[in-house]
Amino acid sequence: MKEEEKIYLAALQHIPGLESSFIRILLSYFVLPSAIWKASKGELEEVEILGKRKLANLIQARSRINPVQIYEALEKKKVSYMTFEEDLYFPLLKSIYDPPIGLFYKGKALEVEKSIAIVGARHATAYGKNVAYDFARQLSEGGVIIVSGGARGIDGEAHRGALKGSGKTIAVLGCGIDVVYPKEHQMLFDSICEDGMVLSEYGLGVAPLAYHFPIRNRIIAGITQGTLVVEAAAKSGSLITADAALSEGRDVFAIPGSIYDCHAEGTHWLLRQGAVIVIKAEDILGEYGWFLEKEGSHLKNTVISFNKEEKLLLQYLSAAIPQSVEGLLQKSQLPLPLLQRSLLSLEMKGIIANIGNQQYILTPGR
Amino acid sequence: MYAKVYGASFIGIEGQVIHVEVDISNGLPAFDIVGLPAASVRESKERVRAAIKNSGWEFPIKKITVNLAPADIKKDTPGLDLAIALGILAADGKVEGEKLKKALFIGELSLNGEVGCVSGVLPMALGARAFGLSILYIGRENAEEASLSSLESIYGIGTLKEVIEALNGLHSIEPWVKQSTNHTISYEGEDLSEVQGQVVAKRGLEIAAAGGHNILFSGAPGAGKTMLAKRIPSILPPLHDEEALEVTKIYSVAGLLKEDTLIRKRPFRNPHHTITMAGMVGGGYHLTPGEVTLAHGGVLFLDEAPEFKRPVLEVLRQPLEDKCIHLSKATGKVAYPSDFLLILSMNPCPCGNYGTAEPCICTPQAVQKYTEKLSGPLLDRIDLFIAVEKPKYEELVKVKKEESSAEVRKRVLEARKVQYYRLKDYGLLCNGQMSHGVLQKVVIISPEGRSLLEQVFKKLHLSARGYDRLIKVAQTIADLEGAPRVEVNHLAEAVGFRISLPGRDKLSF
Repeated sequence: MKEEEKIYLAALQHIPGLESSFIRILLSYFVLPSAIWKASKGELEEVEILGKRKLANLIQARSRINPVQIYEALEKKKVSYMTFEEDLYFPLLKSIYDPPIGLFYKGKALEVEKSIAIVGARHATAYGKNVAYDFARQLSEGGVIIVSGGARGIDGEAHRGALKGSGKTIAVLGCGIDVVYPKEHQMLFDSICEDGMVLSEYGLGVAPLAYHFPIRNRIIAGITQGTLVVEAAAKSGSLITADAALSEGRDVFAIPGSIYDCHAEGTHWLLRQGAVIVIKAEDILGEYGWFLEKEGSHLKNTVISFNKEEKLLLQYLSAAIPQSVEGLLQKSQLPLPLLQRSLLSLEMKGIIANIGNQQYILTPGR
Repeated sequence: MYAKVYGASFIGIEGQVIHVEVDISNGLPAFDIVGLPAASVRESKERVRAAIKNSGWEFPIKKITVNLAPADIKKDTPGLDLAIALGILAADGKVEGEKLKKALFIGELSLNGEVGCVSGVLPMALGARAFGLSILYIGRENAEEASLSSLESIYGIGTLKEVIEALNGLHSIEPWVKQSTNHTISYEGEDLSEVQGQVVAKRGLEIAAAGGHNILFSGAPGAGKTMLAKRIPSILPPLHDEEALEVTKIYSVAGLLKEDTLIRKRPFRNPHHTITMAGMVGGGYHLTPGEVTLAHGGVLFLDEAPEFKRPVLEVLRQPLEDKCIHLSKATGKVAYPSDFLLILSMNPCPCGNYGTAEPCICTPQAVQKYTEKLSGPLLDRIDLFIAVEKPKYEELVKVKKEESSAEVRKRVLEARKVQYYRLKDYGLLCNGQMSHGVLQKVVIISPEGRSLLEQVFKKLHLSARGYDRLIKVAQTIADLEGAPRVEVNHLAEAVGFRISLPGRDKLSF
């Protein structure tokens, strides 16, 4: 597509209510984006499937929006744009039922060969966060690009794990590229853009409305070969992503949780429905015949040595259930000052973390 | 005719001798009281008139002027009734003036001439002593409290008639003999040995008591936070005489003195979270002391701290910083002492289950919103964070002998002694009071300790204040051990007591 046409296409994506599927239909009538933009009301009315409302929207927006201005704004904000036809556009995404007609993105355009989506609840447990981080890191070290939604909870941890690994991860947003949501992920997105990309189907300034997220989930599932659901409650949005993956014939993986934990109801349901149970990163890699490029790269940590008391405590600490100092005191029977000192030492070594209220948890993979 | 009698009033917790001057002259009958009398004193007129009449004397039908000097202090106690009545009778020639000059008279008069009791007796009696008076006539019910001031001669009286006849030499009253002896304080029902288990929490209490460190308890409802907080007074060093006197004065002024003995137990105040600003700091028309003053010398426990209104929590800053609170109203200005140990308690999250075996149903935003209710500046005053867990069944039924408060108190006292000697040149009593400057000068840390501090500072993202707090607490731990300097062990234990609220740390957890 010529540069000029790209400008018009980007502008079309900024028209509220005009989804990719409709733009595609219009393109089948008018062939070129510029033609759509310049078409008369009468000509547009012939596209019956558009409907009165979208037609009115389109006409009104056209007079309001200046395509050149939009393109300049994109440039100013360092936002790039790729259309459906380009080589850059993700091959697997092209083949889904309703691929985005164009994508706005920031960061480095990645060539995606091996990729896995890691999704899950925003309201995640320490266990879920640990797993997301750990698996993302291991897969990423194995050359897999991790795709997620940039949201709080599991998504955030998956991105962070990938950043620790190869640094290449893709965050697909449910709002405009220039809108930072959630606010506290500003720095995370900046880090992602260093070696990876943040992308969105939505134009500049579009707010993170609730109904955008199920729609963007199809992109997450569509870019990747498989989707791993780490932790999902009974009605989690990540189940929609799993559903999208299935519709497109992709694999769905799930991590089991505690049978007493309501946070794992969704993932357990997926497993019942036939999702592949995953308890090690190798389970996913094995499914595709990918193997770790760097053997034992994540085993660096075990070079750390522990003294007698620390080893004792490690037996009682868990990556799934937080332990209180009082509880550890009773289990280990160590004198309190020695216990505190050993916990501090483990914390300094990065083996455990204090998750608040003097509760400690093992942090594998960090 | 003119007469002068000494009465008393009080401002804040300081007594003030009032010169009650009475002048009776010819002219249209009138009875005026001047010298900034408050409502309770203005009403004296009616009481005095009726009391004098019903005691068998005629109320002079002349122009009576009563002046309460100094004239620029507001007087707000009905205890001046007695002095005014005697002054009038003296000016009328019914009572001998000479004896009046050497004594102080305090008492509210009822209409039939009985002398009733008032509040603030101890400060007023102490004020008399400071003024140089050694004789006090006071209502019988107040005599015991007055005797706490160690005035030379106290006469407990029942009626106006009694005083007058005594002054006129018609009969004598026996001086009041102090009845109370120093009781030994018992902490039964509030002893540490009644708490099973909770080793970490008890250790935290010991450190807090030893160094004067403010505490934040966090735990699920029913974990035992209030139970632990209530036991802190039992492990604090006992009030020494000066402190006891000050606390007693406060309670006297507030009208809360239950027994007429010197208060020896450190106060424990536990206001409900619906308390108002005036209730917390004091005020109101009568400038009554608030919770921060009633907690002076003891503990102020704010249970469910995030439920208190923000302004009420914010107002704690002056007393925590200056150890006193200045109240200023239209009725006057007063400064009350307010040196207390602050204990806050809260749940770890709105549902209370964070970190327990039961699942926590709070969203991360809800947790953050809840923990953010305690402002940064307030949390900055907290040196120790103690997470309290619900006791498990096995712990509840265990019959292990737990340490008593007395045993812990011994260690606390030893640690306090060490601190006293270290800090007395700086005018401080305990580690919790150390400022950054004093800390730098007096705390000695081993080289290994310094290197640990550096690591911790970086890895745990401590603030400068957090860094100082860590050192203060470590110093107290070292003092409890009797160690000459702060070592790695002490610092490691201190780190274990740092504030760790879910949702507030920089960790992504």
